[in-house]
Amino acid sequence: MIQALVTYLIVALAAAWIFWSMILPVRLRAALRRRLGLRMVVCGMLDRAGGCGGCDCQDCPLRR
Amino acid sequence: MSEALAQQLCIALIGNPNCGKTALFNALTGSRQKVANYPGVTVERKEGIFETPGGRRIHVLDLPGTYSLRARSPDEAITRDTVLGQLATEAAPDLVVCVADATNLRLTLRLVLELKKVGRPIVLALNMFDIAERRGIGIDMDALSRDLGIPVVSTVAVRRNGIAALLRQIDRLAPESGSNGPGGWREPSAEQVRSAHGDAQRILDACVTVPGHPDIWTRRLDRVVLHPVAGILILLAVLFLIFQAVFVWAAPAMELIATAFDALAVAAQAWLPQGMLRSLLTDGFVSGVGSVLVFLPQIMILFFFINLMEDFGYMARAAFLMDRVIGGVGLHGRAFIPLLSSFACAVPGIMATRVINNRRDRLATIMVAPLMTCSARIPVYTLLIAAFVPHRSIAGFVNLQGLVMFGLYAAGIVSAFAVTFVFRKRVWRGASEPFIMELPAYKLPDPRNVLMGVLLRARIFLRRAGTVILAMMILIWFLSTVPGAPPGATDPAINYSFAGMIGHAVQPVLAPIGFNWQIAIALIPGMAAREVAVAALGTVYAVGGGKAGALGNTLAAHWSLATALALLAWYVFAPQCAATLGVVKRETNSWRWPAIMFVYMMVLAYTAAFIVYNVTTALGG
Repeated sequence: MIQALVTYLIVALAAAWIFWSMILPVRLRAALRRRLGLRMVVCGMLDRAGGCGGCDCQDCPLRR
Repeated sequence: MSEALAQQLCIALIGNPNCGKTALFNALTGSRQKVANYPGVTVERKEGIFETPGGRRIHVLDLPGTYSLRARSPDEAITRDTVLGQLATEAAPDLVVCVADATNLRLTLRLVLELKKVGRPIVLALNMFDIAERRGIGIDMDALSRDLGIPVVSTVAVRRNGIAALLRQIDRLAPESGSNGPGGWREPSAEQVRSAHGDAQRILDACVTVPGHPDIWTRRLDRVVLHPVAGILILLAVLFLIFQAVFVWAAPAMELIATAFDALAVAAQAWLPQGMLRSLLTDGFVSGVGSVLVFLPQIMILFFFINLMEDFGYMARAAFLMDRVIGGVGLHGRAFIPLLSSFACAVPGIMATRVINNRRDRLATIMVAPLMTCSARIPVYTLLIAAFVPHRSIAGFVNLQGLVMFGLYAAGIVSAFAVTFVFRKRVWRGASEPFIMELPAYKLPDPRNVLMGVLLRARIFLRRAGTVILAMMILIWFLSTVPGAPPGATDPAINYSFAGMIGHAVQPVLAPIGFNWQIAIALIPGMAAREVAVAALGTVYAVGGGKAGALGNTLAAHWSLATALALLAWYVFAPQCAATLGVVKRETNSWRWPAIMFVYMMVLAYTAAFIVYNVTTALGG
């Protein structure tokens, strides 16, 4: 019973993480972070010059 | 812009490509941004913060390299707009640090003269000063400072030499508060440009003495390395040796990681009673994440060689050599660097196309960049090669597995050239602009820089394993386990699970290319990142009753050679990376190009897999 409970909790956390960081569009995520009062990284170039936050490039200010 | 950022003073690092701006940025901020010995590494502005000895907090911007404020490509436009304060979202810099390659001052001096017209305080940092001294280049810094009317300091950014003197000048020159308005620069006329050239040459003649025979070693080496025939052969031999080393050197470390994960599975089985959590740990974590993590040594070895070649200065030569080849199919010579970056990841490769001025050339490069074999494909390739290609030598020294790996990389390159050829013939007709590139001097690779690059790739890989891959595997495990088999069921439980249902529903579409329902399941999460497919296969087969850990053996027992080869062919072309499609949309500002990319790559992948599967089956594979 406890094993099942812990397992479902882990699965729920993983699903929530995937939804937040991979499915939710960047703009919506940024808006939600602002509403929640979480620290935002200023990125003047985000709209005009790239930086998707979902890659390996290390260029995106959202990752830092 | 945040209030905290508004109160800081802002300085911008600006200079010609490949003069060491990012190395100086790293030295000032303690950051670890990528530096390399070829132009065009920075195509986006990077920001950091540091404190001067005078206690001032400075916000520093590392800008893409440029020869002039008359921007001709998107990356140069970023530099111009930032320096001139033309960005709505960011204030103009309070001070400009112009970074110069001390071994090649002429073009920088022209840029300094242009920057002076902007009207902001400037410090000139003569970087790579040690190399200039070794070559016998004499620079009268006092005279240079007097003629230019700005302070001049010497630096060796990779060794942090001269940073203290630069910081003193920043403290001295930076205004007390940000009083920076828009810059006063205007696009110069042809006459003004010629006049600036003349002024730069006059200052150069007065302040710099160059020995009669500059850098004899670079010239001697280039005579061989840049030879039209010998140079290409050397390049192919270097790449071939790298792939041989990737397979041969990585084997012991991979064995060690696999053994550690096996031990972890045994421990989990011993400590935990039969149940869901135990299954999640052994089938989801060990078989899923573990099957990807074993490829860490191969990725580290591959990037060790790539970083070594970058630091040595060989990559720029490779670009020069490839210009004739890639120019022949219609790509611009500057496309080589973005394509090279795409071997690590297509996302920075596509962003690096900003160094290409012409829109047609840039779009052609963007469209084929994902065909270069990115590091996410390595786990897929190595898993299937290790499982299906015999570990033996040809002619006594050529490792067959390494040869197949080399062939897959070559297939990606050749197909990129073929696709470009078609695009340029059918969509973007017209000649490419000529390729002009400054070849950097050869340098002894800096071990710290090489090591930093390798560790950076390792960190990226481990972070993905600990985030995207782990989360995906937990979900795949759940979908492969729930709901359980009904009472009296005779098939394995996974057949009744959600994942089993999805796999069986998709499988008929993939049957003509030899893919089973387990592969169908793996391809879906593989859209997030290609290597997730390997972890998904590990989990699906472990939940289905396979042995935890040894995924290669399980696949060899369940798949035909034709299926394995078809999957390899699929992964050479398949557009299975959401981040890549996202960045194409951003860089082209349209959904049209990612849609075209997705369709053409999917058609190529399906066709290649279909041909490979049917030909191999007909040959008895």
